[in-house]
Amino acid sequence: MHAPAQPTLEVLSGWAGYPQVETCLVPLHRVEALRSTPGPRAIRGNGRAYGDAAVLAGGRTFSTLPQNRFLEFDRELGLLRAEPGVTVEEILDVIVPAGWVLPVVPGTRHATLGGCIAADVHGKNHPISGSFAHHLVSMSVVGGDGKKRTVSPESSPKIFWATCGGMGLTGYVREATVRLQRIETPLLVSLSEPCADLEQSLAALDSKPLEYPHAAVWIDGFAQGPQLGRGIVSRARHARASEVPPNKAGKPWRRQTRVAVDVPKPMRWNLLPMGALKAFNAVHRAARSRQRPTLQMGMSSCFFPLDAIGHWNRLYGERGFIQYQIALPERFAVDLFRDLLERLQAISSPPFLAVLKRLGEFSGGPLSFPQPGFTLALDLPRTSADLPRVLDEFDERVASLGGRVYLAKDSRMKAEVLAAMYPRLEEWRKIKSQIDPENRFQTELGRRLGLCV
Amino acid sequence: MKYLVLGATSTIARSLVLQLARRGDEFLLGARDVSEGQAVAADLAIRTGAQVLFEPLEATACSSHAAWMENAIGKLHGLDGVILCFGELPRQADVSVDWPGAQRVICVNFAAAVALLEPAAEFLERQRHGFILALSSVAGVRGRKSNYLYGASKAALTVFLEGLAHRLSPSGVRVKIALLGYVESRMSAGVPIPEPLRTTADAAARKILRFLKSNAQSACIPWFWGPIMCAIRLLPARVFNKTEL
Repeated sequence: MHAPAQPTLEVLSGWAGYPQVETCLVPLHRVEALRSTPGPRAIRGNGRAYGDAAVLAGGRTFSTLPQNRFLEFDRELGLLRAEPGVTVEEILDVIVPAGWVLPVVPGTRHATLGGCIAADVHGKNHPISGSFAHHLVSMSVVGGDGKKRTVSPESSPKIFWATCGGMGLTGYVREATVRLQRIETPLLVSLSEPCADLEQSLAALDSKPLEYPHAAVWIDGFAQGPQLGRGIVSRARHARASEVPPNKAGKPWRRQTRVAVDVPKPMRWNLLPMGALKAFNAVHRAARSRQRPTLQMGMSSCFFPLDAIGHWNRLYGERGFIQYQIALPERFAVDLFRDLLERLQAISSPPFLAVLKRLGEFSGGPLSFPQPGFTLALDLPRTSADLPRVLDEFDERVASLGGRVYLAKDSRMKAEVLAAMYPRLEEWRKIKSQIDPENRFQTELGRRLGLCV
Repeated sequence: MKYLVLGATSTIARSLVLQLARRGDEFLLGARDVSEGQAVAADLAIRTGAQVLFEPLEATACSSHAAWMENAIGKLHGLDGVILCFGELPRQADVSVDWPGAQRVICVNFAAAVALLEPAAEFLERQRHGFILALSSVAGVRGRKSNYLYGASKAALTVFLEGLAHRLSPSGVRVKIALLGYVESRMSAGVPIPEPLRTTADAAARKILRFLKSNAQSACIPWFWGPIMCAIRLLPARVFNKTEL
């Protein structure tokens, strides 16, 4: 009830809680605000990027969450046009009852459409379905020059692909049209199998890829020696109508909003004691080792398992954590992944969560993460003083082997290794300077990696 | 059910209709901004399966409101509920020295509501069922230096609605007055809201819908504004005038 005033500074971070940055978080109620507000600005969706990809120290961080309208849904052709602030969850709630699904979903249903584009996210079905950008028909981008452009892979491929995976640094995606995938039923058939070691875990991702398009290996980051890299591969595919027993058929699509536990306010301390996690990893592995195909009623437990714990990031305490996700060509994967896991264990910083996936072809985006080979994602608590040095070392090794670090997860990489990881960097820079000549779109990630200077 | 939503692009209006709408309901949304209004209409239809129409509505064009209302009811082929959400929150210091600006606030927050709701009330009264839900403000309980023009316009709206409720009560038409406190919305964007008093638009909308189903004629949203404003109302002027409210 007071007069409107300047937005105030607040402390903000990515999903991993590190780094924390003082910024003005401003809800983007009107897109015109982007044009009328001077100075650098960052675009933020639902804050699911792990590191500093959606914060800007001292500047304004515009939240796209108020821009969350569905604009057009063609139920026959499976085309959805929407604003960037709609979340994956909201999209599924609308399209699944109509017999459609997003061809690619990230690991959380809370990511926004804009975030999925900016990070060019991939799912557990990357070898078959590619990344998110492959299913975009077109989008409209407001660059730093204030111009609104409608871009598609056909009409203006350069701006289109610089924006897909461009981490929100080329401009603001005002709306996008996605091509959806038909499903017969909203049910999934899932199958899990244990893998005894790293070789088996990697090999498991190559068997049955067509039958089960979704596959990922959860890896026990605590297992050592001959068991290093052991885990559980879980596969899934959409069920055919004929596979659904009569008692389950015709049941309406259940909204997947159930949260089993919610972690309250930010925790001061790390609530994940090492011993308990070690035990959990072992038990989880034993419990999930069933080998018979199972019919799943919802998609959440398969696609978004961690969403069952609301604000699970808070378990890591106020220091936050680091997610380190790398991609490597197939021939280097075993050795490097083994070295990495061993090294992290040696500095008493084993990953609390580790996930291994197969990646198919390159995406078209110069800064898009997916590349042929394997990807390993590790959640690392920030407890060991040696961790930054070890990760820096591995950045260089990954870069020299033709691999890369996923920018949507990154919070700490040094700018020097970026060009080796993303060889088309200069091409991207050219587009960035073309549609955002004054570097209006900035983020801490962009500043750190020299993407907006 | 057939609903008419006035000021449909407001943050609370959107939360409200998304929670209210059921498959098969019919809505006509009125708002000043055509492209925003059409986007909100499309979104509502896609998310809920309701049938949604949009009509441009310039709140300050009061003399044409009777015709606008007639047209709207005609397009909906009936009317079960009117939801009035538009309003303007100015910076008090600005409107103190700017008569056109002040006039605009009075016009949008009060005169436009009168011009639109009278013909709607007429229709509902004849039909002998339906409701009028309007968003007013706890700011209208007592004039305070930080926003007395807004407060006065909302106080006028509240009193008008009370009278309308009185008049319509024999016909079975319900008039519901929601007195809102601080809500995070486009209107209050940039207003420094003290943390414990903050309410999201979604939460406010949930409470408004619960109030809509209740028997009460008016309610503070959230409830704690009732005792707070009661205390502010009861302060003697010599004490009140020394405060920084």
